[in-house]
Amino acid sequence: MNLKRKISSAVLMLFVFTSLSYTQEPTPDFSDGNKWSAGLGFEYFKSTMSWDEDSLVSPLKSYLMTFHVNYEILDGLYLGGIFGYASSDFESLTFRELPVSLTMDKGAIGGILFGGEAVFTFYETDSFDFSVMGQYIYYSGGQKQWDIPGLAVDGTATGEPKWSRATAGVSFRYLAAKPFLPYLNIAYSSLSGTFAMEESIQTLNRTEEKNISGIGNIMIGLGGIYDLSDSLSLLLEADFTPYSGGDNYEGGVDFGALLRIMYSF
Amino acid sequence: MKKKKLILLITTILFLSLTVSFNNAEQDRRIRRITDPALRDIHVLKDNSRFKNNQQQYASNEVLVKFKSSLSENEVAILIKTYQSRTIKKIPKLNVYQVRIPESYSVEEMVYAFDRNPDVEYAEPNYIARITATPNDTLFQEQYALHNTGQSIGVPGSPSGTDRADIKAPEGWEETKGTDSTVIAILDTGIDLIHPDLQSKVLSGGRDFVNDDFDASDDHWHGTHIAGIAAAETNNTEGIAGVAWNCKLLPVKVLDQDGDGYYSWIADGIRWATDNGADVINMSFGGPSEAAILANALSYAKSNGVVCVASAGNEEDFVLYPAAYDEYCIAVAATDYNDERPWWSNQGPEVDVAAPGVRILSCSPTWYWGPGSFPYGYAEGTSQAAPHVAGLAALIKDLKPWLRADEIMDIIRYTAEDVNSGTSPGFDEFIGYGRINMDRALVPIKLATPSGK
Repeated sequence: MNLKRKISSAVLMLFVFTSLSYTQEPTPDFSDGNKWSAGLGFEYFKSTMSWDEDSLVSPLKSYLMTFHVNYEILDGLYLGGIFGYASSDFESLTFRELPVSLTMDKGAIGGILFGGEAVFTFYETDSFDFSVMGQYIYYSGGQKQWDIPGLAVDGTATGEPKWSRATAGVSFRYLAAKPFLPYLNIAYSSLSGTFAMEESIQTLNRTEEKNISGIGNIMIGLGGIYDLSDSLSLLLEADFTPYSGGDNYEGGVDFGALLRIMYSF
Repeated sequence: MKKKKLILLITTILFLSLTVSFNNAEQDRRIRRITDPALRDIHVLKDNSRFKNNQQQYASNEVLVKFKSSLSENEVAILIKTYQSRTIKKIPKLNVYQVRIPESYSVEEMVYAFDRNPDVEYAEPNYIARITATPNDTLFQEQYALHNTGQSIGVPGSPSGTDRADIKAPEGWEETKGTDSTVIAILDTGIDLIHPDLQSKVLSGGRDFVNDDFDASDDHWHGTHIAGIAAAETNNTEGIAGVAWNCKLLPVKVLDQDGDGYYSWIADGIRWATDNGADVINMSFGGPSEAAILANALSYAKSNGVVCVASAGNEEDFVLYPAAYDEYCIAVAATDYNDERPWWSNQGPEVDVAAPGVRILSCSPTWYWGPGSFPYGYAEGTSQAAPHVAGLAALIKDLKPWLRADEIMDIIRYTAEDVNSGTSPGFDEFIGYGRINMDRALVPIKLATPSGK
């Protein structure tokens, strides 16, 4: 399942980059001649994750604080780097392969994140434009240690999560209300990762690594860009990722939101 | 420009509103016949177990609503929409709508709101029914060792126990009841192979090393009593519940009709059980002398992944063998219905854990009390404590078959409850790490407090 999702996202990413050769129209220059832009972002997302061969689900809630640097490498093609910090909460994730079974209660784990993104506008008119976009983010959480409660002896558990998210899709932007540019994104998003939990209780020492993957893949984003000045812009977006129910869980919608402020130079 | 600012303001408000809205056979105490007819009756078990209270009682985001039959489907749809809700499904014939409620309102609030509408016949939460882990065995409520509610221990006039001075069996059963692929070998005086609470649990006729044949029938009573504690047929509306609900029993007779057995029989029994599918071996007996043959047999079992459990003894003395073989066996001491250690329970550094061993109700051979009698009775000793531990070992083995025998032994030790922490905190020679706790050993423990390291 994970492999299938990874292949699907890879194909979509490939589509993003190969689509460059199908450029038909010159892209509008929103950077007012500036090739570089940098900025800060804040993102929250809740993703329903499946684990233990998709038999169980639990929410992954993450807060991301990011620093972005973008460069317009070709006319209408923006490539960017993402660096930052993320705090992820793997509530209810349960480890039953350890000698003494453990389950995560609430508690976020901080870690670094980095990645990249690309946007290419391939069609535009005076009123709207269409772009293809792709983003990849990798999060490596720091080790977090817990005391295992209720035992006759001292015991600790050490968790270390990692996840990555690949998103690729299309964006439709309305240009006529400039400096406010509302947009709609429809993207394929693949979230997968691992959580290694090491248990140490006197002579009992084992590690269980659990593979997790988001069960919702189609993400719909609604947002807007507001140009505060010629070089300063503000972006606000709300994302919705519906997912269907399984044998042991109901379907639903995951939610995410992001805020970004960018400076062009 | 004003228009654009207005659009920005509306979009920001819309965005923000979305973000705000997630234990020896010789020294066993008397076996007592149950004379109170009340204990023969099938009791209706109360379903007020504490462990149930923390579980979700109904669906958190939906309610069930029945509208008056005079309303058309279109009117119902409009009505549901006015409550900012949506229909998940309609249950045909009953005309009850399963409705998804808005996240900003609780189920109680929505049930109240719907109920006030004159067009609604009734509204109620979508309650959750569960397979109960409380067995329906008629004598279960007499088994304080498994679930102690502070009930009287035996016939009227008997002492009563302390609430929750038990091994937390129902909690553990919520996680696993085991399967018939896990086998507990009962090395003892044999097992009554036709006992109604055991016959379906016995894997085969077993092996008799006393008479050197393959019919390990019980000619004493001890082995049958031990087998019942470990794995009597459970949830069969009859008799008692066994710790290892669904696991199988393998009878191996190594003690004669007087309850005595040569070490050679015992060693051969350990070897035979290991070679014939045993995952756990229970030895509710002991001798004062150590012997290489016994150690070798136990080492053989352990190296083949078999968990060995033995009773510490009832002489108010040192721990007997094989329990004293610390490396190979879990040595089990006894506690009572108040989580207190009885004076006769042997002690020493070899004691690993304790389990209830006072006034323990279990199976007695069908021939023991005479024709037509009720084949159950009370007994006490570390003999009765050990099979509680053997049952837990079987459940762990069944749940996590990849674990080594020594790991399972350590899980049982480290998850024990230090019930004498007031007088002997930590590991001690009386009850070892403490009284076993099936909840901690089987159910995932919640990680909530970071160590700060």
